[in-house]
Amino acid sequence: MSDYIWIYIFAVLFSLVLPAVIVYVITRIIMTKSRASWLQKQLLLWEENKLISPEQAGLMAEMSKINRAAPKKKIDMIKIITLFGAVFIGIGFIFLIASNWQEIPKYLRTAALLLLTIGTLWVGYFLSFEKGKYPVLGKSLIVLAAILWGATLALIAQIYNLSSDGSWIILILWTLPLLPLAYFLENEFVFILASVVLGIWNISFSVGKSLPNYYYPAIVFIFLFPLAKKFARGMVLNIAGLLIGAFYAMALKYLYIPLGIFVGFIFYYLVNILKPPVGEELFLFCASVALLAWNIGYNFFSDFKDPNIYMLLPLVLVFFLVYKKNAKASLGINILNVLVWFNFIIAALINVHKYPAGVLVNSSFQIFYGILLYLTGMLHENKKEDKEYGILYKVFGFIFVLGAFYFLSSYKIETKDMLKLNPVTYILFCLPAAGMLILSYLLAKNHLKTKQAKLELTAILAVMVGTLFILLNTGYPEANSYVINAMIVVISVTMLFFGLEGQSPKIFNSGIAALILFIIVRYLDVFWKLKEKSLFFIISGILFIAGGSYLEKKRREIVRRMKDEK
Amino acid sequence: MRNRIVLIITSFLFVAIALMMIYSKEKVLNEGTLIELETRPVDPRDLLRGDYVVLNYQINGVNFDKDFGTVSPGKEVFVKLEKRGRYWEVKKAYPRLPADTGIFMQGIIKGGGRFDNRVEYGIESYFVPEGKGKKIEEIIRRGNKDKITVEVAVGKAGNAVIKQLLLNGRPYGFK
Repeated sequence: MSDYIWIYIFAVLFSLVLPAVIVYVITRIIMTKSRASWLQKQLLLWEENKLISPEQAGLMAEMSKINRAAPKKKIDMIKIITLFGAVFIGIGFIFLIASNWQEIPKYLRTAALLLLTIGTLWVGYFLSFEKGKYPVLGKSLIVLAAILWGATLALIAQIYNLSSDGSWIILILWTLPLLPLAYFLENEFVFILASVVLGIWNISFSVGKSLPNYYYPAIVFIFLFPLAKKFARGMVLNIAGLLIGAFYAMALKYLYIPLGIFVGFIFYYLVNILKPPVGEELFLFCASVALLAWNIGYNFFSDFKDPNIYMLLPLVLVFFLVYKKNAKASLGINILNVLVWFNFIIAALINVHKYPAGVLVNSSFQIFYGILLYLTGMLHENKKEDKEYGILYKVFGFIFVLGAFYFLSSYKIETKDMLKLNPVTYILFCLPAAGMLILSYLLAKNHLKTKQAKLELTAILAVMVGTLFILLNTGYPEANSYVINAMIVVISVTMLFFGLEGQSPKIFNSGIAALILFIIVRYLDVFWKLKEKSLFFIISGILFIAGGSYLEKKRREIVRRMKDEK
Repeated sequence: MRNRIVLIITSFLFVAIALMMIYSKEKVLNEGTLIELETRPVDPRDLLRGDYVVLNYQINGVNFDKDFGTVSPGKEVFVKLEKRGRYWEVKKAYPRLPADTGIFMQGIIKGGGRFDNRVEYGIESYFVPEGKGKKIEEIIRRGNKDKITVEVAVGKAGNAVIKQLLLNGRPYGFK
């Protein structure tokens, strides 16, 4: 020990004295500011009650070097600095423990740290509650005590060589006493600390025990959510923890966890006892995300060989709730849920029965699904209250169709990708048939009478015919590439006309974006193969600048005209 | 007043949890049977708790016979240990703590196989003063002359706690 005694002494001084000095300086600043703030308020009060004249108040303020204007709220900065001080000291102690000082007897180390933890907690309490004069400093000391409690547990674990796989024990013991403390003392930072540690515990438990952690969602839903009523940020963290937990469990094929999280969110949404910080609908949205995790996990678990028919039930429920409660924000994620579910059903059929299905068939599924979505959007447009739903369906439909065409346009189609008839392809052909039924219904109900609707109808029919052509064309793979590119142009140009006709800058701009993307992709396809890359880049640069400026100028002119006409 | 009660309860919880942890480990160290196990250490670092050596024991590889039943990750296991020469080795694995006499160690199955499946007993880490882990690793690497082993205390319920690291059968000093 003698060789290192000075290093130890220096380490002690550095680790303990420096944080103490920082705390002292911060405390002094806060106390001085608190006194000044108190006098400032008192002067205003005395002046209002005519105990002193304005001149006297001015003189007193000048003597104490304070501003007589109403006190400004600068407390947040002080709060942040003090909190940082507390966190830094806490981290300092954790590092101090990490250095494993064997020279100090283990009982003395533990007792000292435990006493320091409890002492800090009580000092914090007295400063913020009993005396009430230094609430910011007091609350920060309570946060420091919460961190020191973790350091105490880490020290005990270190002394008894608790394996890293057993870290979950420390983490849960760290969290549990903090929850009542955070709730009753209304300390949001302690709640945030407890929520983060609990989230890490969830993963640590699964890794350490090689088992799913069913306790985590139960603890969050039963205890943390009701406690989080007071803490908006804490609530968001716990929601994030649950969703991370759902996807983590999904990756490990622990299916009941995402399903349980889905049920928990739905329960909170339905009972409506808590109001989350960003609106109640957040629960339904998160339930839908957990459902997505469960569906993916289910298919991972079965190696994409077992169609998840059970998914139909929660899907019906969420769509019912979306419409019943007018929860439009959750519609998008559930449209994605249906797409993923439908694709996994098809994948399971293909895998089990070994049906040949190439890129063309898979992409056509997405195109037809997109068309059906678009048509569903059109069905919604005739009722004023459903118009927003209609727009969502249309946007998703458009993205799926255009996305699939872009993918196909960059893919070199070969003979092996061509259609081979089997039950899966029969299902595929059912989709455009369903699309035609919806179109017939729209025509029968006379819902396609406007010029815009006719334009949409033309584009939908063109896309349907084009997709059927590339599916049925088994002889000339090259011809498909032309059709696919033509489809992208048709969709983009239709959008331009649609935007102009409907005086909608958003649709017009989307059409321009789709067209520009198409031109760039095709340009790259053609010219990237050139040996002289420098020339390629120079010419590209000139073309992009010139073309971009021209298009932007034209686009602005048209959009301005639209707005003027409106 | 309510806040004071909360604080008193929290302080009590802090002390109670800390004492409970210490008591459970000290009980095994004081009353448990001491056994010596062979190891192969490496030198990682725990972000929260500093330097430690990961200890791989010979008893980490366990064969499960048909009597054991299903072997799955996360399942609890009790291995019966017997002394072979100087060191203790696994004799048989049980799904529950048997009523037999002998030394049993409680662990968790990590893999799904029946042969040489990894079982962990919560004694796979040994914390060392900062920067001292490498030295242990060097001793191991230098050759067969020096041997690092671990003295472990095993309680009646099968829970194990590391007592100390041994170098050639003698307590390893970190000075």
